[in-house]
Amino acid sequence: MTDELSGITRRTNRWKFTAGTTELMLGSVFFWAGLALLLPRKPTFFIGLFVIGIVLSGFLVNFLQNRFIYPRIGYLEYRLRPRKGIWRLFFVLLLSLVSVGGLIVLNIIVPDILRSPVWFTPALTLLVGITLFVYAFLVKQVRFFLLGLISLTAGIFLSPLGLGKVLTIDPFGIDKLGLFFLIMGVSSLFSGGSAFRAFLRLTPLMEETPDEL
Amino acid sequence: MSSDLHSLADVDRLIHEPSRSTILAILVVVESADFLYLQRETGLTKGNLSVHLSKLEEAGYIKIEKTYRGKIPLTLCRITGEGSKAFITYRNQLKQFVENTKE
Repeated sequence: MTDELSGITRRTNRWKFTAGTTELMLGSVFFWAGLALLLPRKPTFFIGLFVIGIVLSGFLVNFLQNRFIYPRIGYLEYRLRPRKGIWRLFFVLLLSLVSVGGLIVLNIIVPDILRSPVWFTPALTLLVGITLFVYAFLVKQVRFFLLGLISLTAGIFLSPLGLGKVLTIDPFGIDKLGLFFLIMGVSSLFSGGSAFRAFLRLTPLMEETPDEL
Repeated sequence: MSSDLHSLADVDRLIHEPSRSTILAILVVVESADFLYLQRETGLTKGNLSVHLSKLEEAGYIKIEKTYRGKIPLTLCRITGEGSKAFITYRNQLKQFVENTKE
């Protein structure tokens, strides 16, 4: 019975990832940021497109939840601070400290050529990749691990050692940053869309039950 | 009666009912869950689920709140501090019993 109770607890904790809405929202943030960076830009255009895009995506995800998800599984409100949150927070803080320390050490030991702004995007892909790996481990969802792999792969291709050499148009590598965001956006949207499709197929609407006692 | 059986005899009978322990196992990990989710997970009819929820509410283990999400009415259930404590104690007692009776 204790195993059964643990299973119920685990299943309840995982519902928020099952329908893929987390990736849909994450993907839309990346997608709109990438699009705004790649299109002819002025700061107002960038901010406007990004904000409008995020608001529209928020409405869409909310609509999907109300129209398709809640009628199938019911409404669940998760705790903002889980009971074991303090350990997770400690772990994230420790990881951040190690990352910052690592960057300081790297800044001292790496040759000048690697301090160039063109390395900004590859460094960001590394950071996003590691964050997604850690997140995948914490929430035990393989899909986030795959997204982390995509981020690292994009980093290799967009670094000055890969396609980055060909793609560099501006000295600060904003085009590469936009491309990275777009790749992550499309990948996350694809992952979230696939998860949502599978959710609809595997989770039928509940049948009406008689109201007897 | 051995001490193992004694520990099992001491469990909270209100929670020991499988449907009610399922309800609390869900509520202990979320802020709140609605009636539909609990019905889906427990497999109970609306009437039976209502009865179990009422018993848990009477014992002070959960709070039931009727609200709306947009135009859709929602019956939200939350576990109370007392309920959470009682459920954790119950689960530990069960675990202890299983551990002690392992061959």
